[in-house]
Formats: sequence, structure tokens, C-alpha cells
Amino acid sequence: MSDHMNCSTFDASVGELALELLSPTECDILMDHASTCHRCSAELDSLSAVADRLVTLAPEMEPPIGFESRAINAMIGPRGVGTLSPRMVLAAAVLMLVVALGGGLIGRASKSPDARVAALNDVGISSARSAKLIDASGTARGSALITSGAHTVMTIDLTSLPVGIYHCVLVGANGGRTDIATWPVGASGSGSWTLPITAELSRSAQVQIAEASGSVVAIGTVH
Amino acid sequence: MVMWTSHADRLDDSALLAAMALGDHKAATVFVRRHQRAVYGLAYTMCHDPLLAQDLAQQTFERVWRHAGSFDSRRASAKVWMLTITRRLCLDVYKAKKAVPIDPADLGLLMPLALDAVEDTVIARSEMQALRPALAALPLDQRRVLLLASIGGHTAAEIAEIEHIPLGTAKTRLRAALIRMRRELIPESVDNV
Repeated sequence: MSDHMNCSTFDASVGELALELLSPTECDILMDHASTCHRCSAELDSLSAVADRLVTLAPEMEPPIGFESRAINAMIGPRGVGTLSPRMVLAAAVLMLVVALGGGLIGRASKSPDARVAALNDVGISSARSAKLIDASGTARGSALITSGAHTVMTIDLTSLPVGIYHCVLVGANGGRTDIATWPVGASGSGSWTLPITAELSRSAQVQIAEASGSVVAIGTVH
Repeated sequence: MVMWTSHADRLDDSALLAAMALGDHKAATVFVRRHQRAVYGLAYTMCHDPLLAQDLAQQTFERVWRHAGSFDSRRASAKVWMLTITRRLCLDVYKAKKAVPIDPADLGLLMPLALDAVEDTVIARSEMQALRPALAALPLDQRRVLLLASIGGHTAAEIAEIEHIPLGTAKTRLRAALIRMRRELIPESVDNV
């Protein structure tokens, strides 16, 4: 392969590069070019996306008897739950919630907070609670969904809000206030955030969404 | 810790991977049961050695377990992500042991299987529904080259030897096949030809 790489010579080998068939040296030469050429970088990305999908073309075959148990033992044998660091567990807990809500398991946009809690309960997450976020006129501005386990994780969905910076505050039953986070809302007027929270969460806690000025634009009671 | 019951087998692949990242054994069991035929099928198709295929399939699931937390559903489906691991393991074996990839004579068998493969999940069905007509629409010479490279694991130089064509022709056919597949699978894409 020539060291004098240009788009034409890149094109000649981009198929093999996308299918990961080249030697490391050949890859390096091509990737050096792609790193400075937007056109070839984009071409590689799109052909790689096609190449990746081709693996599903192989026919399925029944593995030999006993394979399933051997594979499962090999997977879970060396690593138990206890070997996960708390950080990994927390990250996975957040991922779990995001996947559950957004990955097709539970239809996010089409269900009310109550329906989402019910759906989570249905797959074994029994600690889910929710709050409808409503403005002063009674118009829905979003929702909050909270799950508690080893960690408490909250997802806030906001909708139909003016562009701006919004603060999320948790108000406990005793009136204690805990700042949760600050988020920007862009031209779409909506957004969704998931984060771990450490605040004590009572049944009657309130979730408040306030503008940068401190004016509260939506409130919801956790139930 | 999320409590899983028999509901685990109703979860989609992304949710199973998220649960596996939490160390959930039930999710791992369901995931293996759901995908073992696809993983073993690809491994066997690529290496044509039942013992090696078992080993590679098992390694695939071990890696899926270890790296479940890094799966990103925005980049690829769980099945594509998992089978890409299998394919890379097979390619590593080729490179390390100079194992013989798929016999080109088997392409006649492979192509109809690839076109007629039966899938279980909704996602897999939709994937196959897009891939099958795109593959079938390729000229035969491009389809052979694409399958020799993607499933067979052959380089362009090896394909040139197998197909008795110049190296440049093998490279051109491979790129042309990928571009045609892209045109079918991603209609909004722009061809840089």
C-alpha cells in the first residue's frame, strides 16, 4: 500500500478497512488520511455502518448439547455482582433506567408517569414513583420518575418550556430544599435528564422546576 | 439491585444488557438462550470447525458479559454489536493461526442461507427484511466478493486469488457492493464515486 495516500487510493481500500480486514500497518496509513480528510472519514463511517450489519447474514445453527450451560458458567463464574465497584453499579443503574424508559421496553413519550411506574413495576422494579409537573394554569410541563434501590435515580422530562436555564429543586415534607441540578432547555422547549440523587425522598415530596430568576414554572408531588 | 423474575425473558436485548452490566445472572441466561444459535452459527460459518466455533462463541458471551455496560444502542443493535465481537474473534484466529476461512465452494450454500435465514426477534426480522433484498439486488460477482469478505473473512488479495480476478477488481467489487448496499439500506446517503 502506498504511503502517498490520497482520496483515490483511500477509496481503493476503504471496503477492506470498513470490514476490518487490513493489517494494523495498512489501517494506520488509511486512518492517518481519514483523520485529515472529512470526505474520506465520512465515507468510512457510513460504509462501516453497512459492513457491521452484514454479520447478521450468517445462518443460525444449533450449538452442541451442553454449550448453553458452559457459556453461562463461563460468563458468570469469574465475576459476581459483588466485584462491581459502586461507581459501576451506579452507572449501570442509570443506564438501566434510561434503557427501560427509552429503549423500547417502556414507551416513554406515549405513556403517563403513572403508566411508566406500572410498566417498571411489571418488570420487577417495584420502587418506582412519579410526579406530574404542572404549571400555575394546570398545564402539564413534564414529569419526574424516581426509582430507589441501592441508589436513587431520577429522570426529569420537561416539555413546552421557553428557551432558558431551569433549576430542579426537591422540597421535602418538612420543607427542606435540595438543589438537584440545573439544565438548559433549547429551542425544542423540551429535554430529558437522568441522574442519581442522594436526597431523602418522602412520599409527599415536591419536585419544583424554576427559571434562572427563581420563579417556579412547574410543580409536582411525588406519589 | 433490580429484582428480576421470569419477566427477564420478556425484556428486549438492550434491557438485558443493562441488567447484565449490573451483574444479573438471570439476564445473562436469557441473553445466551436467545442468541446462542446466531453466535454459534456465525462462528461455525466463519471457521468451519465445531470445536473452535464453540470456543469462539463462548468467548463472545464472556466478552458480552464483561462489556455489557459499554453497549450503546444508538450505534448498533445488540445483535449486531454481539456478532461483531464474534466476527472479530474469528478474524483474530485467522490472523494468529492462519486458519483457513470459509471454503469458497460453500458460498453456493451460504448465499441462499443468508437470504433465507429465519430470525426470532422483531428487531432481527426488520434487520433481515432490509438486508435480504439489498443483498439479493447485488450483481452475483459483487455478492460473492461481499460475502467472501464479510462472512468469509477474506482479504481482497485472497479474494482475487479465489475468484481469479486482478486485485484491483476485487477491491473495486468490494467497495461497489458496500456502496450499493448503503444506497439500499441508507437511502439518504450520498455516493462518493
